[in-house]
Amino acid sequence: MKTNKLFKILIDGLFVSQLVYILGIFFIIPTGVLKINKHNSPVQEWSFVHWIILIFSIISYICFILALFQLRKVAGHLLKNKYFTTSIINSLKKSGNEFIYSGTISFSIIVISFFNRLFDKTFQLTFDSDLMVCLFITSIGLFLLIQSKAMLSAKEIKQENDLTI
Amino acid sequence: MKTIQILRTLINILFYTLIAVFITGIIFFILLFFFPELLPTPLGSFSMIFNQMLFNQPFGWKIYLVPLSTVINYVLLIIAMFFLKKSVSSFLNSDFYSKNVIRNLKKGGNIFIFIGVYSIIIQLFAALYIQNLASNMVQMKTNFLITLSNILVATIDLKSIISIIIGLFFLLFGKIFENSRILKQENDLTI
Repeated sequence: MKTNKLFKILIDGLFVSQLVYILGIFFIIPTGVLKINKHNSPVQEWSFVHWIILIFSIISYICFILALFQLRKVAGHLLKNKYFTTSIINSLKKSGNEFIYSGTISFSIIVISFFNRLFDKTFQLTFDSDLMVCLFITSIGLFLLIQSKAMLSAKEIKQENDLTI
Repeated sequence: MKTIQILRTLINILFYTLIAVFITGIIFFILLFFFPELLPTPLGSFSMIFNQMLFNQPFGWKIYLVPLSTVINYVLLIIAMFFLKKSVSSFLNSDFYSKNVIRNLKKGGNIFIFIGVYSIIIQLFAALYIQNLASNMVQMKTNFLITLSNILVATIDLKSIISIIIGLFFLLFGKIFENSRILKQENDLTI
């Protein structure tokens, strides 16, 4: 129960902080001082590719927030000790898919930035944690999908068990 | 089955990349310590981190605390990934509810929680030390609320919180599998 409560509190905290953060981005864009991680120049100098990177980043971020929202629902169900219900399985599935979308879109951003730098003749070979984060988010999404499948089969076992006299 | 195979591939890529980076780092530091002249100029100049003079600077041994904790966290991350890798291998055999899977998930989860909590403690220590040092240097009294918010912002970062959440998630995952295992056992025993 303690683990469930802590999980719910942390997920809620993370979800609210991310919402505040994304609202902040929309307030910063009109000021024109926005800079993206992959290209350190003011918004007035951005090319089409930089706008694509921004749009992809926002989509990936929204997917991440939606996944967190579904995970919040899961945490809520777990807190009520409702382990094998259809709603928890559906939420896990949705959350898993959204984490996978977020990870895949983030990966595509890295690929686009790589080719952009290659054609800009500013090619560089670096090791940073961005690629690892994408892989990790996708792995978490796949874990959630597997968990939803495992819970679905557990739910069937429970139903069988409940029906057996 | 396809999902599990993709997950296994991703976990393997993550695990072996982490190990490769760790080995490259160790080789780099060995070269830096014994043969700094073999490295190109910008990299070779990092050998100053082993200079005796650095121990005599005002921060003393404390300057090594944050880099050392980063290395410990990195090694722990590799160990956690190893446990996840072991769990996924069992998933491939459709063995979801075995004791091994539950044990590995719990171990992985505990390590992730430890990484998060440990990072927060080290960052708290570093933030308090720097805050103290800065206020001694400036000799100016700052508002308690501003000091507290400075320390909180420096201490609680997103990575540590996400690490704790992932750890808790794996613990819950293990707990749910344990419940499912009991159900399955009951079901198998019922005629």
